[in-house]
Amino acid sequence: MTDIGTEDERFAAFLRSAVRQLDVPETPRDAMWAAIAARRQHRTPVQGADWSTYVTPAVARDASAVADTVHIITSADADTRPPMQVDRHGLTVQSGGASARPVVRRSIPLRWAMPIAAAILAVGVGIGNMAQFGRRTVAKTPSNIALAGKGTPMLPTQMLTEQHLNQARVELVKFVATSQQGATQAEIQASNQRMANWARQMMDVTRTLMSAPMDKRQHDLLADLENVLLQMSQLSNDMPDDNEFVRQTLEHDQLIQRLQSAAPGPQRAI
Amino acid sequence: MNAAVRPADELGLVNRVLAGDPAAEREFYDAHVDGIYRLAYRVTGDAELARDFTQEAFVRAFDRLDQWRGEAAVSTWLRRVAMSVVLNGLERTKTRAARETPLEDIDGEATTAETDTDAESLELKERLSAAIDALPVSQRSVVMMHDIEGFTHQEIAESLGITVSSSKVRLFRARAQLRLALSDFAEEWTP
Repeated sequence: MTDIGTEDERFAAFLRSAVRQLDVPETPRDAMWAAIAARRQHRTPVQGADWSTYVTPAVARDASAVADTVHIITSADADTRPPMQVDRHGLTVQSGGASARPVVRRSIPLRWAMPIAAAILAVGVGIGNMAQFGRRTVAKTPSNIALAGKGTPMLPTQMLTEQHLNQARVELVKFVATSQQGATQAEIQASNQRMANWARQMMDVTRTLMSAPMDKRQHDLLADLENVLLQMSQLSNDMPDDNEFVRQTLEHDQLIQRLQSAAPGPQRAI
Repeated sequence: MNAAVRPADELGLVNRVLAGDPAAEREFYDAHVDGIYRLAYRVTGDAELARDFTQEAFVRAFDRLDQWRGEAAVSTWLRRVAMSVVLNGLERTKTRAARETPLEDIDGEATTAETDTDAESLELKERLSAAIDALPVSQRSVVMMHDIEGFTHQEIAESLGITVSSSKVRLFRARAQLRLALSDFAEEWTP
């Protein structure tokens, strides 16, 4: 893959030249700036406290509590930057130290409240959608919460992530099975439609989870999952090659095996 | 990628934006908007969508500029924000298949093409545009960023939040599809 060869390089050069012949409209610079300025005028600067408009008050309270928990547990993480000061906006601002680059940060609970609340909502929506298809429901989901209660402490985001990864693995296994069992064209078309819808739901949650703090291995796993979900979200009956591309990506990235390893599901909960 | 702001000045400009300097905000916007708009247009193929996504990208970027950690150039960070907006926006609007290219305008001129070269060039544009349209957006975004905009795989990986290997895989597949679609023009890149 890394050795693209001279012909491939020539093709890239040809492509570059050809695409640049395709016209790109002139940037509507001033019109866009006016729209951006107008939108920003109606916003509270930086604080981002409008997160509560996106979630119900009840979920917001839960999310805030979750965020506080995450903050407490992760506060020992290596944030070795110099001490913070509070600026005129009430923001914490990094000062002093070897680096001259100022870093303005929101308080952590507020900063993570919205993503986590969104994740809670999105997982709920995703599970609801799966139930709509007559598939696995929360009650049948491997109980990571039960796992947490058996002496293996798990962060809320970690539980959500594992549940998400497990759900993804189950569906991907079914996708591969469908494509390998000599399914009829109608079955494949129905499967493609369902998987594309499912992938779109999962992508939002995946992206949200990726914004939470986690180790690199898990982040890479989510990134690779997002890659596959992106391909699956575009599955259509007009382009049967796309199914093959998805299977190739799954195989190349060993995604199902890695998902199994990261979120073993029922076996681990026993 | 961004000739308007040198790296040494980038930090100062970001600091001024973070301090709430309106002139700095406009300067930051002017320095990056062409690249972001071009990228959005080439991925979406739609001027209206490109405009909407570019606006959204800058609104989001200004809101989150404090999250730029300095590991990568701010232009790379900004492109990542923009690509996130574009990809999510395409998912929402579900219009990625409905690309409107300037070729519609060119169609009217096709009858007036007087030379073989003009006709061939027009044919190439049409085929290329159709081939790019046919790519999944995940591959289209990578091939545009790598082969057209000159991003490295590392930069693409950072921008799209994927691994370097995923970026390479997507590029490989995109090129394979494009080569197949443009095989009639193979003499352009084969010895």
